[in-house]
Amino acid sequence: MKFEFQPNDARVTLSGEFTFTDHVAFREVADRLLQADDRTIVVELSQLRFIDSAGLGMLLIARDEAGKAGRTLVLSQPQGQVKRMFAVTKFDELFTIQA
Amino acid sequence: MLPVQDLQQHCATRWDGASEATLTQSLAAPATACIEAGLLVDDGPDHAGNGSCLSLTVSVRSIYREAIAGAFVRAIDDRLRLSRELRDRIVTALHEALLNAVMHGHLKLEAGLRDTLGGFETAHETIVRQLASQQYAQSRVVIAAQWGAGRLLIAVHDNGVGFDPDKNRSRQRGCGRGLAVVEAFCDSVTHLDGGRTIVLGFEL
Amino acid sequence: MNVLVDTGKVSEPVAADRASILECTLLIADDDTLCRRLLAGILQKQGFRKFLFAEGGYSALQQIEQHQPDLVLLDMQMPDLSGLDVCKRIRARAALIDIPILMQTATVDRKQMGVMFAAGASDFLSKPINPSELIARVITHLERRCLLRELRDYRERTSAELEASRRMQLELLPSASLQDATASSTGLRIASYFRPSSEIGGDIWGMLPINDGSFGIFIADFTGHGVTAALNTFRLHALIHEYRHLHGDPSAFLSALNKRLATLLRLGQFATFLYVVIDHVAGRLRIASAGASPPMLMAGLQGSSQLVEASGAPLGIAPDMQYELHEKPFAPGSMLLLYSDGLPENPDRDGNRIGEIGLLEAIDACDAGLTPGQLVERVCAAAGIQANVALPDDTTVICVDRRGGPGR
Repeated sequence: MKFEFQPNDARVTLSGEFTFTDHVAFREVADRLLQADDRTIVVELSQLRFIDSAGLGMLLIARDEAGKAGRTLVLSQPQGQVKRMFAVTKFDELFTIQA
Repeated sequence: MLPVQDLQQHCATRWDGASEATLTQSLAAPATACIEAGLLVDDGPDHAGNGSCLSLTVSVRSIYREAIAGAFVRAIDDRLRLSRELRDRIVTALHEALLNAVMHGHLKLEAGLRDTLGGFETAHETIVRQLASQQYAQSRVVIAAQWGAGRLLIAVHDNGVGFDPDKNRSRQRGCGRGLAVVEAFCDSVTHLDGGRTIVLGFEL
Repeated sequence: MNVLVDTGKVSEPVAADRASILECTLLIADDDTLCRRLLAGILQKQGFRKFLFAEGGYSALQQIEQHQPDLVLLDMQMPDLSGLDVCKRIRARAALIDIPILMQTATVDRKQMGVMFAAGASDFLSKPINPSELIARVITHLERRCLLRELRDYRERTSAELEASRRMQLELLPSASLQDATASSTGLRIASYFRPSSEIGGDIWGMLPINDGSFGIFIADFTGHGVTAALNTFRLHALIHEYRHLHGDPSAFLSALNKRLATLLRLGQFATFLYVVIDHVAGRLRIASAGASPPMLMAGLQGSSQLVEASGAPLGIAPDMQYELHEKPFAPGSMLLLYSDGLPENPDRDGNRIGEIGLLEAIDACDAGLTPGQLVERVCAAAGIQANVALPDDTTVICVDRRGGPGR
């Protein structure tokens, strides 16, 4: 999985595939996101092709940690398989998902 | 409709375990059965004998290392021409089923380990270390796909300790999610052999 | 190979490139249809386009006979003729002795491998087939085959080119008719012997017309062997023509040639050179030498032959060199022998070299009635030169004879 931050660190674009092997990369993403000043942090998903249950798990953990730091985590523009995964696991009930 | 297959059945290949690229080569038609080099064949998969099948026997180490599900489903797509949406569903379900086979069929992970990001890392290191040990050298998973009459069945069978699907279903985090995803993405799911075999069914 | 490196510009065979390997024709012999299709499919994805198929041993042999594939993939187990037998029969044909044969077998025990290699298999592939292994082995064997073929072609080409160069070189030498014409117009008799050590060499000799009363003979010997030395002889030939106005002045001639060659030749290359102006009217020889073997002169029927000592630095070493002029009488009844150092230095069967003293003795031992040609033959024989044995060095021998009547 690859990631790219916007200048103010409150917005990150994920691309490629987000699977169980990406925990190191995601740790970096989560840490940086939480350092941003903004209350709302956005994870841009339009470039993400694939996510597995481990990836879902990591997003949930990030949401927890954001919540503890008083932030809101928004998932933006999931596509294809990622969108389907969110639907099946009822992520819209747990996250704000921007279409 | 389904392409007409040869009446001859068995066409075996070997995978050197090196990369996804060599796996794709080994799964290319007209192969019907591929086995990873180094794995001893004692209980090879049965063959329907009508060519509409593809099986892959891989070590659990390889499952953790390579994107097996993707390569396998691409090989099926090569033979069956699946829709984009169906392909995504099959890859997702197979990927989760394989992970499941590795984590629960073979390894014993601490409960709740993957509830934190730090836990993920520990889990990963534990897994890699365990898989590298001699104990798991012959641990393998067999993926056997068969198609016909408008259905595709993919069986994932491992020679590990098995698990109880019902026990896992109650968990909200960690492994339970994987099974939930499988069930949501398949048209049918069947558990056999005391949890050692899961059969994923799809309408074509 | 090191000779060719000297010339710098000659192109060497490159490693067989992938494009030429993909042009190869592959024969797949297996009674299982799916297996044949599998192998072809794997190789097709790599870019191979030319395939032949055989369902059995006899069919395989027939295909090979008819189409001469570049590589054969052979299944061990075939219904009509076993892979081993097919292999043996392929190897029995001389033309197919190095076609790569890759045997496919399910068993991989040592003894079986030994049997396969003894039958002539180039390599074996285990069954079930491992695509990456198949690809790697096929490519390796084809690469080797292409390389060998290129080397062979290259050697043939080079050989042909060397042969052509040798003929050109021989054309530079005075022809028999020129020697005869000079002999008859001057009242002398001339005989010569010329033999390069390998296909091509650095020796060259020639006759240069000056005027009605005299003509010149030069004999040159370039260092080294093969193409470099030969190319230098062509260079020298051109220079000699350029300085034709100096042909009557041996010292000036050698100085001029030396100055030019000093700039043209690479460090370590040089040529020994001997130039004799034969004034048959005045009965006199004028000689200048650049490190050449001393000519042998028999003055009159009564005397014994003597060396004409003349020294000078070989051509091409340092640009400004002086060459002393030596004059000797050449009255009727005299005989002059010019030669390159290949003659005295030639090792005979026992490894002995005749040397200059030995040559003098050999000449004196010859009956005065011998023709120059016969004398040259005797001298060569005395030096241990045999017709069917290769010479270690280029050898030139020229005899100019005033002892008898015209003709050889």
